[in-house]
Amino acid sequence: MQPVRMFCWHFMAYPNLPKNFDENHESGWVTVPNSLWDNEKSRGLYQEYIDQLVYADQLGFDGLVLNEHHQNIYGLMPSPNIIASALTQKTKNAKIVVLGNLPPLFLNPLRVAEEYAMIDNMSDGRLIAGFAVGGGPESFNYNVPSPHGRRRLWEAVDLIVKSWTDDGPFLHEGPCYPMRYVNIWPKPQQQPHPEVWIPGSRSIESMAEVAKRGYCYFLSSRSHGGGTRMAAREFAKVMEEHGKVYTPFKMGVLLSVYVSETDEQARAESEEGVFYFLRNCLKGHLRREGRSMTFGPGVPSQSLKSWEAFLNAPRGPANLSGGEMLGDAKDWEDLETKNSIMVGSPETVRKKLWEFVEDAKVGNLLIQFQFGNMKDELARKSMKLFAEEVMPVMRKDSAELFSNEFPVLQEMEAAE
Amino acid sequence: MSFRNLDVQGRNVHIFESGSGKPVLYLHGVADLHGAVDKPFEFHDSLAKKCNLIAPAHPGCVQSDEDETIESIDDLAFHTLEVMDALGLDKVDILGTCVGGWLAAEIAVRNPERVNSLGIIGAPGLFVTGSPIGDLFMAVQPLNGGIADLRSMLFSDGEGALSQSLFGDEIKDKEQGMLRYKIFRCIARFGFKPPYFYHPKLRNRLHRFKGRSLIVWGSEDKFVPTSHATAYSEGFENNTLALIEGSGHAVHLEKPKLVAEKFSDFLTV
Repeated sequence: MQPVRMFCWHFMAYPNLPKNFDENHESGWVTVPNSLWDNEKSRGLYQEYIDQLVYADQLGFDGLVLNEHHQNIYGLMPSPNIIASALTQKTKNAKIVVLGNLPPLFLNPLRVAEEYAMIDNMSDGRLIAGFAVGGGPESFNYNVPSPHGRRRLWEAVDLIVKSWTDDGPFLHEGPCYPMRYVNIWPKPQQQPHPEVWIPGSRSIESMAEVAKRGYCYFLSSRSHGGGTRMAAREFAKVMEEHGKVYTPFKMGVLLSVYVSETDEQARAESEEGVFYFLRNCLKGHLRREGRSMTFGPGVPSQSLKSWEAFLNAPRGPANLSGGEMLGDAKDWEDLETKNSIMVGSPETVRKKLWEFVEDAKVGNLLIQFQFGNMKDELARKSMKLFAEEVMPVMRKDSAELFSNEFPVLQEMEAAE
Repeated sequence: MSFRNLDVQGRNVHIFESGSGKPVLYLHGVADLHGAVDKPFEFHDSLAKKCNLIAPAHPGCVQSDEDETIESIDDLAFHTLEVMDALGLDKVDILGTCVGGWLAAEIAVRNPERVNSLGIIGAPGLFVTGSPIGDLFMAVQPLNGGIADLRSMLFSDGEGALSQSLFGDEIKDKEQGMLRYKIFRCIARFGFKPPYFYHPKLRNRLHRFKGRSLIVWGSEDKFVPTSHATAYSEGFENNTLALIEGSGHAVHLEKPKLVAEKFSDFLTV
């Protein structure tokens, strides 16, 4: 009986922006001036964030999640592998999920294969290897033309996995990365290779590529409602079409949670951090105000087919920056209605989270606990309450739910 | 006047053709036929009174097939040479606007024997120290839901009727939304990565084209500064440079009569 897996995701936001940042700057991404970096206030910041993840390992989270962003205040991890490497030495049990490296931004995918293999060995086989194409901001960051992104991503992913599973040296003849000698040292510890996760935002093309390789699909959109259930159904269907078996563990989703003793206290403690995150960190990415770099033509890597679907899709009030997004939430009540961020007492969060799991039946919950400039002690308290009062019940109930709904899971367990 | 589809080595190329007489190959830009809209402007109509204007849409624009293999201006130049082969144009007058002007220059220096006379309007393509080409891709990323930055980069009057009709803040219909997405996706394939909208070696190759050329530029071009017009003029051996006062990058749409006249005279000489 496999319960839902709960991961602690840290974005490592820059927390020291001036109070009037939103009024004076069009974006928290790409063009956000790095003169705003406060050297004195930022001393020890990485240590604080790394320690929060170490704490999550101690609290019994199934894994710790990192990802790659450049030249922005949303996430200070241009190289998540460096943080992952630190975590290998300070954590014991949790999986280390890098979600992911962005191969189209690298010159050579073998570097990714090598670094991931190192992390897998250094962590005694705890790596989950994520690969992503990168969005609009990342195209600007490294001047990578996004129409080539998907082609590069998939050639890189296939080459990396092959470099882990096939004995070298071998020759790789691909249009993007022709390579005379593929022969990586070390090989990853996990055999045949670490679990592979790929983020996507419901485009059928991406789902198909993930499904036919049997990898885990991570839904990266931050707005939920019925969207996750729909995506899970779509992905299950695509997997079936490719002759694979869908289980809840073939899919992951990003959630944001804050837990405190009571509902009132939870709101009072988290509101500043949550709005710092919505107004500043999401500005330029998932907010229509400011310079939105996610939906402008020419830069996102969506295919023409996906763009057509986007134009056809019914949505709320939309402008050129797209339909309403998480960063557009008008106020706290608006956030509550959209249910994008789960805030409350352990009882409230348990209820909301259970409703979500029961509805979407997704097996990997990747949960953000730290928001924007949230203080260390608050993030830790929320994680602790979650681990002690939400996690155990979720594990118990979900194991039952999944084994009832997905009999194939038991067959798979028996086969192992 | 007709639209048709042409098979080029198994790829579909959408072609606009108008007028009779001497063929002129027209290579389009962004604020242009096949770019913002799928119809000719007054400029094209005027020109087509004097010649047989043949305008292929670049890969991925309008109904032309996307081509995954296009990763640089070289690839686009080879594609366009194949289009010329398929059209039976051994040696032809070429007129290019915006990125189409850059493409025309690349073809002229590679295969000067295929180009009779060359016309370019507001073309990127060159590196000019201290005079960077504008960031069209950032300008089209919506600021507070609108793309005023794009309009002011492409037109002298960013809020005027012409710029609003082509690149308004509202997407009027699905067709317009698709065309806009297509043209930017198309030019991102060869114009986005560094070097940004130029080929570092083109400037030193311009001398290879010995034919006549006419260089027309809006004096207020905010996408490709007029210093680039000067650079083209310094590079081509046998050229005339015409700066159109008070006009922006899309000078052929802003002053259609004047620009069409200049080219009609030039092409029929």
